Amino acid sequence: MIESLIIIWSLVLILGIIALRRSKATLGLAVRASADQGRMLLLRIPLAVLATTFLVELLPPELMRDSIGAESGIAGIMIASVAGALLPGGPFLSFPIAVALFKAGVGAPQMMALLTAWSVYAVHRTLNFELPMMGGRFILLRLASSIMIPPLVGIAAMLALRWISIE
Amino acid sequence: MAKNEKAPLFDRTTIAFVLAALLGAGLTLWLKGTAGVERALINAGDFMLQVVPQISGGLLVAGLVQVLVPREIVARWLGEKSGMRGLWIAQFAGALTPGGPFGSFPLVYALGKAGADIGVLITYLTAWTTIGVMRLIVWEIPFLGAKFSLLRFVICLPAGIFAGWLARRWAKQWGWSTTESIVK
Repeated sequence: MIESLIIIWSLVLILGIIALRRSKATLGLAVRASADQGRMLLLRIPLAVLATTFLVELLPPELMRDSIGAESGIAGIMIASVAGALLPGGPFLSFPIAVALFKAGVGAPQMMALLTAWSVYAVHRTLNFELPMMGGRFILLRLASSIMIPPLVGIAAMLALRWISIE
Repeated sequence: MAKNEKAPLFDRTTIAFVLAALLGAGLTLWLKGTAGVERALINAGDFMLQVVPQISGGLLVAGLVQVLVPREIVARWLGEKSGMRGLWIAQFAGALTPGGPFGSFPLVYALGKAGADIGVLITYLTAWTTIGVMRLIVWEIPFLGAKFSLLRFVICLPAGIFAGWLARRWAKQWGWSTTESIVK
């Protein structure tokens, strides 16, 4: 947690200096863009965290552990990939859900498959943006080229975690 | 989630979240009693204290990158390149592109219509979704921690190139010889 803070705020510092060297206005523009984004999240993140915390209280932990827990192996990775594809909404919802599921006992490889599926397949994004804009052929080609990625990521993580620890 | 007009603070999504939180609180109270609600509230509060300093930093990084790397630069990177070199450039561009689908799809559409290589476009989108650095910094590291996020990032590094390479092969096999015939 401390290392995350250090990484993020060092980046803020470096990029801030680069922007400032360009001009004061550049820095101001960037801060305004960040604030516009943050405004929208001001209510959404606390509410999403609250809702998903209650979700953890209510979810039966045995169910989570058996289906996509740390011991669920490749079957769990496949289930997680499908679940991730169906996860609705933007990051302000899916990341609190991910944390809630983690606390309920989901395994790290399964979680990686889930998050990757959420971002690669993104049913909501595909239907709302990609289909109307890019057309069916493009989507077919993109899915045919990336449908195997989330399960492969989960399996690679499972193998990697035999050698390294992320605790 | 690129720059947009000022969104109202209380839109439909936010109201849905309020309802979900209230429903969750009600069910928890009913099934687990006040102790359950109390536990959940303390957990949520703890978690917010952890996440807020990181998310605020992440948002600043995203804002800075958005201003420092305009989309025209990305478009120029992707426009003319092909071959493996084109895929590598697309990979970097995708990883560094900030923001959500509102910004990226118009760019990809415009490049596709202009005849950019299909492998380049698929690599760009896949890299953007799997190793997008902005999502990593704003969301994944604050919520899931640096070690988890960096391991997933490293594992996903080959994904973009792989998908673009595969897309070229599929397009050839299916007889879609030009990008214009694929993009609607």
